[in-house]
Amino acid sequence: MTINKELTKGSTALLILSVLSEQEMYGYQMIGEINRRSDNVFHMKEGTLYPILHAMVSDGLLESYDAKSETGRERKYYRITAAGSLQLKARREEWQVFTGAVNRVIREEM
Amino acid sequence: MARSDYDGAQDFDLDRELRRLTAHLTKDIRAKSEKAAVAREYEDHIRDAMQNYMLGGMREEEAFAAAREDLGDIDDIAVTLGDIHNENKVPNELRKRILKGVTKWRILAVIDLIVVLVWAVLPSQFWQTCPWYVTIYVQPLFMIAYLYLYVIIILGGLNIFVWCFRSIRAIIKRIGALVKIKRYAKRAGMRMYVKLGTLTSIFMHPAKPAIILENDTLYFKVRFLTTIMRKRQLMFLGKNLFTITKVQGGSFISPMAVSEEWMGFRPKNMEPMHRNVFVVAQLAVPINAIALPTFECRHDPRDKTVKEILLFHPAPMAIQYQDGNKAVEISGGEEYDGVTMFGLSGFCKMLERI
Repeated sequence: MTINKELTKGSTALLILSVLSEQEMYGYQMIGEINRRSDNVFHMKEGTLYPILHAMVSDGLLESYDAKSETGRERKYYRITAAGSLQLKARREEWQVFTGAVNRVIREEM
Repeated sequence: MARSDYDGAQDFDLDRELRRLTAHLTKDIRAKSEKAAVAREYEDHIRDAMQNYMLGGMREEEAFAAAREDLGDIDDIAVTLGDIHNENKVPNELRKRILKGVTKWRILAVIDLIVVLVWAVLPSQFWQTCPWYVTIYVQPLFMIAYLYLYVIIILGGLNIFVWCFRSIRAIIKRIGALVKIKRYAKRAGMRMYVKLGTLTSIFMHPAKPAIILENDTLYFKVRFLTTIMRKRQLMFLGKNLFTITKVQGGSFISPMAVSEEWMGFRPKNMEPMHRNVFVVAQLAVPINAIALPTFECRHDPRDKTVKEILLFHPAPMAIQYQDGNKAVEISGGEEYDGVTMFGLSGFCKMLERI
């Protein structure tokens, strides 16, 4: 099932913060992880991930550093900062409120 | 470039294709170090994706085409990367204009300096050995060059001195303004966050707000706009802001702070008097233009009333905007193009009313 692009647009930062809160990752690994966890529902255009990551780094939500990956190749890894963790907490709460409200409306209409 | 472009390609060169693709993706990023880092990141990504596709049985060129397609629209990505990485930097076009403006005068000054140096190394008897017409016609030219060099040194020095003096004064005033805003914000029960670059915004206009003021319901993003020359009138024309200097018998307009769309822009709804001098002003003083990037602040809180504020400090003599053929005065607190404008006193008064 493909999801409307507009629906996923606003949640990309939340998805990134969520996966990075558990493990430090590089871009390609992050995409794989998001696809795996969502059973390929979020099939984002891969090239658009990096501008979002760079913007989040410049906003202080993430940090990046170079390190060798498990294959031995040098990669640019990202990790969440304290500000990013706070942002994740706020966004998670916001998301719960939002999805709860949408579910209640949908249920009532059904 | 579709997936099929590489199907069956005989002369496929992966390194060349990667260089071409990453160069396209990073073409709008100006800082070389950032350009290289981003290019490397995309190259790593493509190589990883290709490896996966090739494990599934694809040939190298097919895997490259598939990985390339998964990236999405590379033109859009290039623009977004440029926007993010060039934030707070002078736009390319503007930089070229500045360099062009500066270079002309530099060339003239260097030629002048060479002429003066040639004169200085000539032996004192030189002019006596020259034919009379050389002494009469060429010697005065050397003297003019000498005088011109003095003029350059004096005016240049004076210009640097005035610029430094005004800048220091503007920085002191900016610190004073921040202290005053902090005091009023405290009284209004608002938290104040001062961003890095608040003081350097005297010399350039960053896209991000200089200060954030917030309480439980309000969120103010405040950006400063400095008018070092106080006895100037400012006028908004569309998204562009101009300084107007009144002179005997007319006005002189120069682009002071302009939006990124300014290049090649010519205002339509100008008073005829202004229109006449605009072209001359554009040719004469393009280096006065300073980019005023689109106001930008990510992660706006959704549960608060967000207000974008442009704070003129030090304030100019008057601020106007053109409404049809009529110039409307902005006295403080008016909204123009989604931005609320204030002088420092007006802004503090507004905080007092909260």
